[in-house]
Amino acid sequence: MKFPGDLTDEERQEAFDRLRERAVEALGEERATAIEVSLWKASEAVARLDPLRFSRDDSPAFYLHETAPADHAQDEVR
Amino acid sequence: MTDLALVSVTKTAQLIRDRQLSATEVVTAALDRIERTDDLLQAWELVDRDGAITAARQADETLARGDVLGPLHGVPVGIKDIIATAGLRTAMGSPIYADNIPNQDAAVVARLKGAGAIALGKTVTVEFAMSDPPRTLNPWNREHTPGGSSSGSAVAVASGHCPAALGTQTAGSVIRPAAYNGVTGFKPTYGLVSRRGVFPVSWTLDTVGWMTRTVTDAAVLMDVLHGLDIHDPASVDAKSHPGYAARLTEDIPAPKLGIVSGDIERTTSTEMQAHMFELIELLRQGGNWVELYDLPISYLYIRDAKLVIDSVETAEVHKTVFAERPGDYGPSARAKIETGKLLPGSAYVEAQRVRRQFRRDIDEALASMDALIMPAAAGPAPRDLSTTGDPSFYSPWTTAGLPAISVPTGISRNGMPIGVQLVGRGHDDAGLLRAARWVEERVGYEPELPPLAASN
Repeated sequence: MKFPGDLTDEERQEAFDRLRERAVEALGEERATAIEVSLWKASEAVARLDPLRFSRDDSPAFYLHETAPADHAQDEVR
Repeated sequence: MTDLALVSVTKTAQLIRDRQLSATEVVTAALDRIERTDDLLQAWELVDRDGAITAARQADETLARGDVLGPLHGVPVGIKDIIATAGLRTAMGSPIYADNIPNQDAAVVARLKGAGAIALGKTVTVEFAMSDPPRTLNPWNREHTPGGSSSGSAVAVASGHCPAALGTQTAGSVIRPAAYNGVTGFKPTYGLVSRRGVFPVSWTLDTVGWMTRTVTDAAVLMDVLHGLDIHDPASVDAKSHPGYAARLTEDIPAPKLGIVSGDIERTTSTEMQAHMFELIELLRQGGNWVELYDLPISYLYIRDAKLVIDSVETAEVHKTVFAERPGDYGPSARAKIETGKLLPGSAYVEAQRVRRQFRRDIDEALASMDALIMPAAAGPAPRDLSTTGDPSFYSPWTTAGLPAISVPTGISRNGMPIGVQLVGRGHDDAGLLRAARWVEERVGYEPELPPLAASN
């Protein structure tokens, strides 16, 4: 079995095209397109997210704790 | 009788308290205006004429006995149809909840009523306060979007139906429609106003906000609506805050404002940039201290973080109902939910980390200034009814939980409202309101009734 990380760019594109064909078949063009656009935006967003990219701290162990999500969301803004 | 179409909350309440007008007269005038204009504008999902008149008569009787319920005694208001109202249908803009009649008021509705306000009915929300466009028209030009998701609330206030209306904001759903329709929109710090009884979009982003005609009115509503609610897990105690409206009556020194440059500047229309330039010059003459503020690197990622957090939490909110009735959701809502279900848990945690970093960066910048100032939107409301507009001017600040306010400052060349947005320090909503009041006073823009509301 191959994992997504093992695929070449071409193989990934082929896999995506096959998924899209199945989505259009199952959902129709309009819904498949809406979901595809949404998924594309989200996957792009996920790819860009990396808090360490703008770390200002040379000590990763400290940094990783400082930016950890709080137990409760409201702690983010307290 | 005084034409109440453009009268503020404060003035309306005063006219009633001074017995120059009765609550029944005020409410009847509002209902009549809705009746004349709303077939066209479609700001209201439901108008509770009988309930509003009954409540107005009771308010008059109370006043006749010498009692005043609160600062909103007799003032008519609109409630976004995603906020529960006892005995009044609350459909969330969805056919799934077309018959939903809550048995109790949301905390914010209870607080409004407790302060004497009279709910005229429910204002149109886009489906589940997400992003599929509403049926509501922009009263300045029907070919332009009214914005969303609190579309009906913004149009109702702009069109003189009521001087205040509740909305909710997960990205820009209060500030954007307020800007597109030429009214003041205020989103408090996350956690200061209870969301109990408000249908969620995203638990860690949702904030109740409101539209009014003036900054002072926004502060009056903040006085009424803020406060700890143990039934909202995000609620925080704001007892240490002074009276928000009272602080606006003091002499307000020129605030220190940071002009946001970079990304926001680049995506703003030329006309809006010119308007901002003139405005900043005007504010400088007022003696305030303005500096350019370069956004931190984390700003570049905060919208991505918001998209991930919002999609995942929305998918969880709708998990059960969506599994049963996927066909009853609009295309944008459906796509968002299905995407949220597929995003990995690690992405959600990473997004929360980026959010924390951004908040820290902005807190650092705001420590040396009172508020950030920027256009309230890239330009006037777009001439496109397939969208509710671009949320990117608002989602960073909402994601950081910061308070924000939009103030109308003029009319564009194509006859549409434009304005500025100010973003303040977390939990310093009083400071933000003071800065906004200072700007409002210096600019001196007097909103008019929009053409589609004035001609009826």
